[in-house]
Amino acid sequence: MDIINSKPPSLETGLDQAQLPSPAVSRPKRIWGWLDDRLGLSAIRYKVPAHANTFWYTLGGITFIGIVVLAVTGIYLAQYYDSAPEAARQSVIYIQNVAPFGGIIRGIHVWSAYIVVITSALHMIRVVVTAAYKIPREINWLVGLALLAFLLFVGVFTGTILRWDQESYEAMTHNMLLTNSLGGVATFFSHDLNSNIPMVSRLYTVHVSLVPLILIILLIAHFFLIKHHGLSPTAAQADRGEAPGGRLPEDKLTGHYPTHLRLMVGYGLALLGLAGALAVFIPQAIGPVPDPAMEVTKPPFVFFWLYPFENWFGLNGILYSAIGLFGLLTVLPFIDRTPLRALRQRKVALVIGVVLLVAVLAASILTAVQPVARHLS
Amino acid sequence: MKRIRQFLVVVLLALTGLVMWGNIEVGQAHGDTSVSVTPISPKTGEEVTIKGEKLSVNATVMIELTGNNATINLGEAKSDQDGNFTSKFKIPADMKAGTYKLKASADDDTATTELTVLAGSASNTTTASTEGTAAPILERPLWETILLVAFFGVLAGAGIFFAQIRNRKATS
Repeated sequence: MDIINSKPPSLETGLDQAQLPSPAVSRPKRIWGWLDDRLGLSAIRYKVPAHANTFWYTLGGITFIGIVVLAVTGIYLAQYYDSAPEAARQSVIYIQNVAPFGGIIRGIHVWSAYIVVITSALHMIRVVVTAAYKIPREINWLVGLALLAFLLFVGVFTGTILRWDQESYEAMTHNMLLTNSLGGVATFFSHDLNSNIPMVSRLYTVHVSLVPLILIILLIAHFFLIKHHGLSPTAAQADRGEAPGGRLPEDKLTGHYPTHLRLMVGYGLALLGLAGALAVFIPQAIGPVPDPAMEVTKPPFVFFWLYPFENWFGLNGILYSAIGLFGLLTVLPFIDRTPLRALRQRKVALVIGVVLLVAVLAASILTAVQPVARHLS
Repeated sequence: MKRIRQFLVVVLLALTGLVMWGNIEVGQAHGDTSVSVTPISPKTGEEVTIKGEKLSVNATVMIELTGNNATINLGEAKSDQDGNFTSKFKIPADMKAGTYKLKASADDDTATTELTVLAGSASNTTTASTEGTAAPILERPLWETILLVAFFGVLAGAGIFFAQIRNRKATS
């Protein structure tokens, strides 16, 4: 039957639905159909648990958007930054005061870095509270920890040095002394690898190449494992036996991933707005030209929790505290063996989590209130 | 979960307060009156240049340092017809090293900033070197600041609105 040329149905003819001509398809739908055929966009319309579409379960996605903001603003900054030691600080002053929108973009870059560390820490806290590190997600927990550690100790740290002011110099001195302590393991970050290229230039290369590369690899692994395992059940669902093997069955997936994407993008835009507003109200300072004889600065506040340990145990205190914190977090899924997921039923995880959180906060507040201490000889 | 949420909100607010408070800027105060010191980290016995702006007009300005359980009177300066002054003072040689609050007060006006005094005697070169000062940050005109804040505020609001839209129809 020629459907296109057939007449409209009527009560008299009694044509069935299959013989009726198709309604006209709107242009947006045709464009979507064309793109979908070629890009497979419909594949993202998969189901997720309803709780995936809440703020607390979107923190990981918000962190990802923050990393994207860092990459975009970083590309702009790289157009004006000069990594030669004699020119680095001046180029940052140029970015701040002369380059078009330089001060704002620099401010967004720095504030986004701090915000991303905070959102990833909150994301990690959510994972601990909901026991999402339990079977079968233990490896993904380790990938997430590696992401946080790399972001903080390589990304933010190398970024601090690039300003090449007094604070940067003191950070670099810490780097040199710590790499000496670590020996061969840290050769890549030390003068031993190549003393012909200035360290600030080499750390700039790390900041713009190694950091994005490693983050991308870790993020791909992280996202793949999340998709593979599905989003974790809530503690209540798991304890009621609704998620055998830590996976929710199809009938429990009542939300949709495009909603989750919308939350990510929406809250990510809010993150960008917050970083921009902070860049306007609290512009990032550029300290004085480095004086090797002085030690007068504290690190950025995301590193405040390390400072008291350096006061008490010397430079190695930084290693002890960082290894202590991340070491405990690494073994957490393997220590917390209870099959239950409600936080109150997981005494070990609760104690470890509270102790670590209180320790980090207390150490940070202590650093904020006490004067600068001398650590470097 | 609600308690944990409340706890995390309190933590976030505390951390924000930490950033605002623990962030030591160039020795410049915010607000209409201001005072700055060069160098920002003098040694004991070293001479510093203290510059004040928009204090009381043609007034005697008292300069003092407070901190480490001590109050040290550095001396006096005289403000001009614009309320500005620039004067040199010597950090006492027997002063304890540490972070101090520097206060310049004239009649009803006060400006404060922070400086860190280092231990050790100053060199013979007492002139403050510009290399020891933080780089100046170009101040924006007020209209530009308002425009930027409005832009980022709208961006943040639009983001939250977009995130909060309820789906009107179930996707298949």
